[in-house]
Amino acid sequence: MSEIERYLDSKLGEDVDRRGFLKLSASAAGLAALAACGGGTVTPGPSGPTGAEFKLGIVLPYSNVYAELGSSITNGIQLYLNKVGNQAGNRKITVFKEDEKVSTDDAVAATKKLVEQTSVDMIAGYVLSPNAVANRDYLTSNKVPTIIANAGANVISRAKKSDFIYRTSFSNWQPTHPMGSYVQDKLGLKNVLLVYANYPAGAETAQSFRETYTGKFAAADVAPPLGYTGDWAVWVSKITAANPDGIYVFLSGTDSVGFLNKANELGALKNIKVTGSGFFVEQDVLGSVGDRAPVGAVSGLHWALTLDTKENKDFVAAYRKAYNKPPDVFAMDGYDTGRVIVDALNAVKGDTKDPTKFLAAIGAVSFKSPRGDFKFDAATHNVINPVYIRELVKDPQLGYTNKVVATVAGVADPGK
Amino acid sequence: MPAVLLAVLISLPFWTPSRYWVSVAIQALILAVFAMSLDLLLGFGGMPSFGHAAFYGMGAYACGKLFPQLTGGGLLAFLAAGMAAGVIAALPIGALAVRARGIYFLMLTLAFAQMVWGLAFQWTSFTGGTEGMSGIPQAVPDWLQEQGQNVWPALRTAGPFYVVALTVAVLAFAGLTAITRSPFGRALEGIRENEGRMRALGYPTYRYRLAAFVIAAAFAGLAGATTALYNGYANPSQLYWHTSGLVLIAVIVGGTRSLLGAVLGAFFVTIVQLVISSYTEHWQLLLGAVFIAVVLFLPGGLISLGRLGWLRR
Repeated sequence: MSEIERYLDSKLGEDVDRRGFLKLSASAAGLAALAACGGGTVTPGPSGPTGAEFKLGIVLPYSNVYAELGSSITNGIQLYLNKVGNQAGNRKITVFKEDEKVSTDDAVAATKKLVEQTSVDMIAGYVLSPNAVANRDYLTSNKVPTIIANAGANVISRAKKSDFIYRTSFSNWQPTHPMGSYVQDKLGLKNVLLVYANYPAGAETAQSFRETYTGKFAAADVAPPLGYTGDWAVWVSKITAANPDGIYVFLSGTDSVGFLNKANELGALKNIKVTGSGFFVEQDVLGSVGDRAPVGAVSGLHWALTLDTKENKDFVAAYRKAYNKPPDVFAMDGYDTGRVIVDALNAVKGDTKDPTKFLAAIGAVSFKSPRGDFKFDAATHNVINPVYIRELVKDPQLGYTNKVVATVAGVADPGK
Repeated sequence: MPAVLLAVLISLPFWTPSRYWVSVAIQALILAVFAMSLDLLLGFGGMPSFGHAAFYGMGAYACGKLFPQLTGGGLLAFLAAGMAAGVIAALPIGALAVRARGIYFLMLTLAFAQMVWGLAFQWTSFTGGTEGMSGIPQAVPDWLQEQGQNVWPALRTAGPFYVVALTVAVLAFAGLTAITRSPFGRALEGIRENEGRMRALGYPTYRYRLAAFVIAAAFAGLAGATTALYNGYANPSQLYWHTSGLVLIAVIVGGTRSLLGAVLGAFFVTIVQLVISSYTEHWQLLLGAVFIAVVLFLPGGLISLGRLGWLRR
């Protein structure tokens, strides 16, 4: 209530004629109603935005296997929007969420609904690459400014690059490319085995690794299906049989948990160096494997919870405060997505009538992000990421987490 | 009843509050064609296929694979390619599957469909893997595109394609009605009721069943081609058993042995899926509950509800 009182006080100090008073009572009534609705989320700025509502459509999975990613990204976006009072460029930002589910048909239906029924001004989201690719033509032909906040398919920055789509997360190529040479030159591994989920992102990661690692491979790649629910011993024993001096892993979520648990149980990783693309030891996985975490694992990713910068510390603290748990890389991508939208809206002063101008403003956004310097690559519409090479440690305060040991700045997708 | 439904559908673009509802109607019409094709197998032929998505997906993939070549031929070339793909896939699969009956037929069709899905999923160089193929044009004829933009400027591209989807659905309904009322259709129902007697009467029942399987696959391919044109992509999810299951639910909820029932079921499932799912993540629960209720209390499906009962067949 104090918020409303303060607002009224500030208004009452002004010279109020009869019409102004009516308007004021109406808005006060509106505010009271909002507060009564258990708001607290609505914080009118000193004057409140007077422009038209900016409708932000979000397509992310809220059910099934990827619900965790969807909620992390949403939390990240929301955290930034709340930070700026849910407004930018003199427009109130309203979020409309639709469930991406798993199948492409559902993701396309969700997108159509937001564009055609809700008439959103822009769309952000897409966890799964096939869904991002399938929606690409529809979004482009309907001129909907779009930000992809997770899906990593290289093709989105390459053959299927769109004037209307930017990506704030990564291409599958990015986190692994610097790792190939690091594994070879700095870690001195000469006989590596690739372990990845058998789907396009896994294959693209393996391809990226082969571009910079020129050494020997211990055996044919170990590639269990995505979302594997069988006995992981089958795959872990292939590693033991191949006897490599190191493995490079690209698994995420439940796959990574299943793999790490079984590998630990069988002692398969004791004498070999564990490396990989950062997702397999991200905070979501570490929370589940507990003491079975492969301490000493070296992985590449565009963020780490422990990054020692002011931006990251502020982000982590704010996220913990709001959601009572540490953020993961997906939440960070969401947070930056929120910031890109807000900065671009401010840059065009809320005028999004001309999508080309608004998109140019999105492309020009750059700032100090929790991940480091955030900037889009004009050629690919993909974010230029720093890649942090991290080592898994047991921190007395944070528990199992990744500590940055080296940084490769400005890793941009080659675009072809 | 068909006349009322048709009148509602024809007038839809003139009173709909937003073009989203035209999109929903297009999805429902495509599913209706797909459901009617399954109804020919399940309702009229008594063959419970759990792999009908194979032919639907094949129709979509044919458009995705051939669109550079087909674009010159226009809309009809795409639709014909979809039907042909359904037929080509159904001949070998049907030749083996229709030898089995009941649950064995169901398992065989499921197994073949999962093989087709596996092929599309794994053979990345030919099918595009999980990402499938995109960039398929809508192939709406120019005159319709122009007229459509004039008549429904607010609907944009949804308007002209709505005409395509509605025409395809009406023609499929008419075609399948003619088939089910022909001597062939009657013989098929005879085989469903008592195959031994039909064989004793001199009907080559295996060929009848195979013919029904292939015709159903052709219409499923037609539905698949329409969805590929509308959405612009072909994707393994269109081949997956979820899709087979969804169309099976549509037919059973709407009412087997009635093409109109299949249409009603398709609209019901689409609305539950697209509209209810925005309000709750538990839309599948609702669909499941309705499915159980229909199976237990309304074996004839929604079409047999109340006074509509006399309209069946």
